[in-house]
Amino acid sequence: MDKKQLNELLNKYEAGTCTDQERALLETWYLTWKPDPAPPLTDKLADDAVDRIWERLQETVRKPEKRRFRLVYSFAATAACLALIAFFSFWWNRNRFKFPPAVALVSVSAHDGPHKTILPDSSIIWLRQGAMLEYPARFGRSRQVSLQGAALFEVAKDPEHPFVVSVGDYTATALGTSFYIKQSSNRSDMEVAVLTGSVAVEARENSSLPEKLVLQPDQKVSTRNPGEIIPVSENENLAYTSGTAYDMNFENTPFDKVLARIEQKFDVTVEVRKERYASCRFTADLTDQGLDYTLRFIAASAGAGFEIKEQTVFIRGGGCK
Amino acid sequence: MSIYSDHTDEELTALLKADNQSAFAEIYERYKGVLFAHACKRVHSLDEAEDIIHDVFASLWKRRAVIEIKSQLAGYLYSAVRNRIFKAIARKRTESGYLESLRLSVNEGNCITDHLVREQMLTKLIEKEIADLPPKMRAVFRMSREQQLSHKEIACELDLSEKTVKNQVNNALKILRVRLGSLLLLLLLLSCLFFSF
Repeated sequence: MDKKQLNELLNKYEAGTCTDQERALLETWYLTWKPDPAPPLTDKLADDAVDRIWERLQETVRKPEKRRFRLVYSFAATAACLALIAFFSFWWNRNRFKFPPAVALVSVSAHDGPHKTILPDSSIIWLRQGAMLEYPARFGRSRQVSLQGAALFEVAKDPEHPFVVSVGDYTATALGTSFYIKQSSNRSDMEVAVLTGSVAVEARENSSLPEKLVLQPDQKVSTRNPGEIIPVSENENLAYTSGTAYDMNFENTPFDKVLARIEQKFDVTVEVRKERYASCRFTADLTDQGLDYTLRFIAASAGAGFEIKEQTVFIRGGGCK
Repeated sequence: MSIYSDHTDEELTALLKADNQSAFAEIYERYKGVLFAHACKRVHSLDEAEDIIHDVFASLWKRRAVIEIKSQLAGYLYSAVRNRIFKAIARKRTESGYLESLRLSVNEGNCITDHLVREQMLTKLIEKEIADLPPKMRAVFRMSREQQLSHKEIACELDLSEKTVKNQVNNALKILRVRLGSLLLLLLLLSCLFFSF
């Protein structure tokens, strides 16, 4: 090995890229190396030197490196703590953080009444003249709508999803019923009358209604007489439903009349060979029933089958003699 | 004389890993003389020897958490000093008094392949040099070595192996660390709960 190779070897050793063999060669040499004699070390010289070294080492040992570590640690601990707090407060209040999904609001106004609106859940609302209804294009957990003016509600039955009508400072909650709401023209008072099922009426905030009131059929409440449940008269009932296709009470009614009522009320077209059922007569009170139930009843009575495809209803088979 | 002067090297190493500054000071106290004298003999410059010893101990402190001291603290320190001396002489290789000796040795193929044997030989080589140490330093180093011996004797008398003594110290440290760790966690959780309400 010549000088050049030795220098390379030393370079490799310094860079830490030696093979085990090369390392062994160098380190073995170190053990046998007899260096030139050095001047003798006195106690004084050595003491001063090691004291100077120790002083320099203090910079390393006392350097805030350790404290920085603690600082980082406490930062991390604080951050973790805050994250935990944030997480748990989010978890405990998670319902409050649930933003309603961005669903477009649909607004319907009745310039001349009664104006029929069928909601996404198949509930049918008959708006009186001047009334306005707002509802989401798609219902979420509960069916929330808001009303100004007066309307008759035929709420599709769905116990899982309460139907909530906001009227001014009040709310009326139903599961599957029909009821009439009339708001006073100054929008501060309102009246709720129940036709079928039951409806809970309560104030959203401060108002004259002392507490939640539950109304049964043929009962009404007015916020002008808070807490008083008033019976509904026959005439009032007629007034609520006048001009609407709410009434589906058939008595010995011919098939084509029944079909016309169904088409008018549910906004559907019925595809059927009418002559087949020309002799059919129906007697039933299908008021406040949905399209599906109504069709099932009609089809069963005529021994027919039916199918609903979007806005078209097909009735086939059976017939009356 | 510090409170750590009767600790063994193993105990000091364990304490050092647990960030104990006094243990570091005791290690320095024990080895400064023998290492400094060794470096002086090789590099022939007090300043350079000072730098080498400073670097070795600064690195020992900085890397205390990650270094693995496989066999003995002494062996680790001696190897560290040797490596730095290598660097020092490599840097001024043109004044090559040593280069000829190195060339001869390499060309003869002198080679001790087992690195543990090399480390033991290095330890013997360096510790033989304590004879040349200034008297006071020699005394300190000898005392620490005798202290280590006395630890061995204690272990013998108690019929425990030295390793067991070392393990007991290490276990005590581990338990302490684990306990402190869970205590911190508990405090953290408690403060979280406290602040959440």
